[in-house]
Amino acid sequence: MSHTHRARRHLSAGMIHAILLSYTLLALWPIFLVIINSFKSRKAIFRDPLALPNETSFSLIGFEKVLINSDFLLYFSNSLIVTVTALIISILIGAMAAWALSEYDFKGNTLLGLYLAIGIMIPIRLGSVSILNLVVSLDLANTLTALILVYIAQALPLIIFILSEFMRQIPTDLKEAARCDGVSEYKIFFQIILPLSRPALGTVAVFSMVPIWNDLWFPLILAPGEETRTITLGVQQFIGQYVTDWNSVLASLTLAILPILLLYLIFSRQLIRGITAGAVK
Amino acid sequence: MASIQLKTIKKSFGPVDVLKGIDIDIKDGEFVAFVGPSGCGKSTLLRLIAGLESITEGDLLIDETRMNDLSPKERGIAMVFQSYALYPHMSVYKNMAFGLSVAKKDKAQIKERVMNAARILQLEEYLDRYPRQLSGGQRQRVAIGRAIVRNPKVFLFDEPLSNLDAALRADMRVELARLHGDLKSTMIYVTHDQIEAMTLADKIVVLYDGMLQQVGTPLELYHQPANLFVAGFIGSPKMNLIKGKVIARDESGITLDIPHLKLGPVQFADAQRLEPGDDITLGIRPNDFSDKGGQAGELSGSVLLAERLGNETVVSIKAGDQIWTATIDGLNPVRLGDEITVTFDPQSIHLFDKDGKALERLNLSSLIHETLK
Ligand SMILES: Nc1ncnc2c1ncn2[C@@H]1O[C@H](COP(=O)(O)OP(=O)(O)O)[C@@H](O)[C@H]1O
Ligand SMILES: [Mg+2]
Repeated sequence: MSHTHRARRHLSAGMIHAILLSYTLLALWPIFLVIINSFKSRKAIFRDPLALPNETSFSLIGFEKVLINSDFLLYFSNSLIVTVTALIISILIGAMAAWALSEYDFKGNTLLGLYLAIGIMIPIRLGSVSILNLVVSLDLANTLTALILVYIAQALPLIIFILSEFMRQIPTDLKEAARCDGVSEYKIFFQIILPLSRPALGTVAVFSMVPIWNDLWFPLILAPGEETRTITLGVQQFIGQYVTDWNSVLASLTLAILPILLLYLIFSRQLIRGITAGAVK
Repeated sequence: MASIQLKTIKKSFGPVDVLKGIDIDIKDGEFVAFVGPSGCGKSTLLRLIAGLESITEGDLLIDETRMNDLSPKERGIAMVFQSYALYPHMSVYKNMAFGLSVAKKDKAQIKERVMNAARILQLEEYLDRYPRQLSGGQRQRVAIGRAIVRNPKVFLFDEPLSNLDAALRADMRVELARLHGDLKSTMIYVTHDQIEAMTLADKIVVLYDGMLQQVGTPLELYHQPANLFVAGFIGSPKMNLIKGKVIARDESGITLDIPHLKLGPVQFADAQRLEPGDDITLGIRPNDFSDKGGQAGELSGSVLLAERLGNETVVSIKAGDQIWTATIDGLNPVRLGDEITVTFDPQSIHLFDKDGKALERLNLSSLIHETLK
């Protein structure tokens, strides 16, 4: 009885692993293709896209073109500035809003919480036209500031929603102990609530970061200027109507993966803890 | 060092009245326990005193100063929570030092105070550990240490020991008593465990349903419970409370009709409150019964249950349709179904009128005060 039970448990664990593994492979496959082909010559890419680079097909021409002949580094730093600044600001004010919503009883608390969460369901792109008008009339067109502001607005709803749910679960006793200790509300927030929310902060950081880094839409309409192009927009210049410079496209995509991978690794330790937090005592 | 006065304190959460007018006077340096069943409003009362909850009506004075509108830190209190409420991301040292460093105290002074508290609580070896690396008892000591370092006027404890196992609880009880002896601060201690209240407190406040039932020393509560609730709540095993009637009242005392109980006339200081025909409740503590005989009161019945604790045996005795509890000699070989007769001193009974209010027992106050000296 316990034998069959254990056997079944092994089997189902095996099944789950098999499914997850095949999903992982499926998800990684395009990335793998991008990376291997970025190290191949143009001819080799077309001759056999699935082959690994070898002595004859190996070429760094894409990276050379991208790094030397184009403004790749500028685009890259634009993306980094926009993503990091938007992330930091949106997480900071999102966390503050979440704390206020979860901790303080005030009139219209629930309503305000709902209002702030609606943004999760309504894509911010629906407002593109008004955003464009606003940006133009604020004289912010073709600036990174415009992008940062829009991304903060885009990220806030989910951040507030997840963080306020998380903060509600921080035991009341802890905050009250601090109040009895004479700790001010600001200190409680910055020195107790924020450090304890690290798992949730990691989670929202990852979920907010990826769409910002990958976005093409807002850079295209708000900041298409040569100086303010982000990397996703910058890559488009290699994709022509008639010829596409695949070497450059693949090389810049490969390079573009790096920072997001790095940030992900930083946040993911928190993320995994965030997902499993509370699962076991 | 502080005295505390609660003047007709009321607290409502929306339409729900949780505290319905509480008056308590706490003297400087006193150890006061709030007891009562869970949900009776003990924690709420403590949180009102701490300033974590606003007072709906009434006044709270600490050292003669009205505190109603002051924040917790301005009241000079420190609170220890049942869940310990340690900051999980700070070491033991930082947990204790946090309140002081936020108050911008001088580093050397903070260190001195923390080390002092650590010494008192035997936490010196654990200062670098994190709360998750400590046992329950150690965590509770850190929580107490966090209160001590602030040198508060009043210590508030909310069921500080109820998450500990029985042996540890007994140890911590001793430590708390010692702490109170050393610090001599005013302490308020909330518990639903009457043993903690009886052993630690100078004064016990019994709460039930948001109302004060009785305030008194542990022995007063035990020997002269003010009403049926306190009688049933204080003392273990529970007092037998059996309904009956008054048959007669004359100068020899009150004669009662309690089925299956042999009992002569009994005397009470305010016996004239009762008239023949009144409904009453009689109370006898199980350990006022004896199987040795030789006392005027008698109860006979059949044994329904015998719990042998070694030093004594707790028997349930079925007499008619009433079930009584009595503690008898641990070596008495009674078995289930046996007929048994236990006796008691008629002086040891408690009597409650039809509203549940106790009659005043004779010669008792002097007895209690004798014992206390
Ligand atoms: N914040 C609150 N809102 C509404 N009702 C509350 C709140 N806090 C406590 N109560 C109610 O007040 C009553 C007393 O609670 P409490 O003081 O915690 O009891 P105790 O500590 O004696 O077990 C309970 O019925 C509880 O449901
Ligand atoms: Mg409580």
